[in-house]
Amino acid sequence: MLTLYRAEPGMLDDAVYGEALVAAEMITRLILGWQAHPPGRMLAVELHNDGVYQAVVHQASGMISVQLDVDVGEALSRLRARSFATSRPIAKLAADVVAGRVRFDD
Amino acid sequence: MATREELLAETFLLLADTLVEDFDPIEALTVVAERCVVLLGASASGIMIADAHGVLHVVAESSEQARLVELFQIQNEEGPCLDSFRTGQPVIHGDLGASPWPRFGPIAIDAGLRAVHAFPMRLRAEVVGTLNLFMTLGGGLSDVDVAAAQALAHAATITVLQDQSAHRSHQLTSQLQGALNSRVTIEQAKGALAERAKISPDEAFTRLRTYARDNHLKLTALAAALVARSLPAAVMSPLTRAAASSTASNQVV
Repeated sequence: MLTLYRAEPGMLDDAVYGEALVAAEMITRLILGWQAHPPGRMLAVELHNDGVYQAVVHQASGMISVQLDVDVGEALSRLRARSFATSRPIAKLAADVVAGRVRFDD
Repeated sequence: MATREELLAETFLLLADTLVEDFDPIEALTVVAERCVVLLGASASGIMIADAHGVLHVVAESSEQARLVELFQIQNEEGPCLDSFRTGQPVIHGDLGASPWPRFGPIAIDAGLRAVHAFPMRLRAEVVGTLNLFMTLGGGLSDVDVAAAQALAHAATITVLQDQSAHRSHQLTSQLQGALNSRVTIEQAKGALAERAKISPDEAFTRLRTYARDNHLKLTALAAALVARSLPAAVMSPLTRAAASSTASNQVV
């Protein structure tokens, strides 16, 4: 669990929240890297099942980068942030974006 | 019409050419997957490579594998691809109705499949991924078909690994990660072009491959430039040609 503290009260906006999620994932991957082989591959499989590695997530990131005119790294952050904010698994939200059901520029 | 043997020989010649010329590994692997469908009577074919954590990812697929994406989600937990990856042996299973995979079997059947075969992509003692065949007809594969599929898997392995003498694990990992990273870039480019041109990601992929091939560009480099928004209008214009409305960039020459 990654806990963040700030000097002022208030919520995180989408972009910052997305970056916090990226930082958490990067730390997780570092920890995984320190294990020679994760026992039973449990952690690695859970990270995979998080959906981040699926093609549809990357397609959605590409679409969002055009919709918001931002680079694709920030587009992925925004996708993660909305996934968490709406409690919708990222792969499902990405599928919504690719199908045109969800847009980030409206 | 070419016989199957002629098409198989021509496929290997094509792959040999990609090794000699400046090639794009994702384009070459996509050709392997497409040829597997024609050569081996598969409904769909995919090539998966393992990342540094041992998690398998699709790096190339025939056009029909896209519809099997839900099946893919379970392939890192159970199924012929995982078995082949772990054992380094081909897994030929002709009847998914009587499969040793209690979760994978029913999902595959629901997807319209009757058999799935997986072939290891090996570099000496290591297994780097698998080449997978998805069949809508049940039954095994003939010895000739098994040999052809395994040979194509070997060719795919060589295609991924630019330095055939790589025997130190950190070099191997970085070469595999290169192919995986290329795939991510291509998926991002499919999305970006799909959004710009108002087309499906599959149509976007076709346009990217065709443009790269026609203009002697590497597919991954073209995709990376598109994602980075650094392609000139002279390139973006033909790629987005069927867009419904004109944009300023289309009018600037």
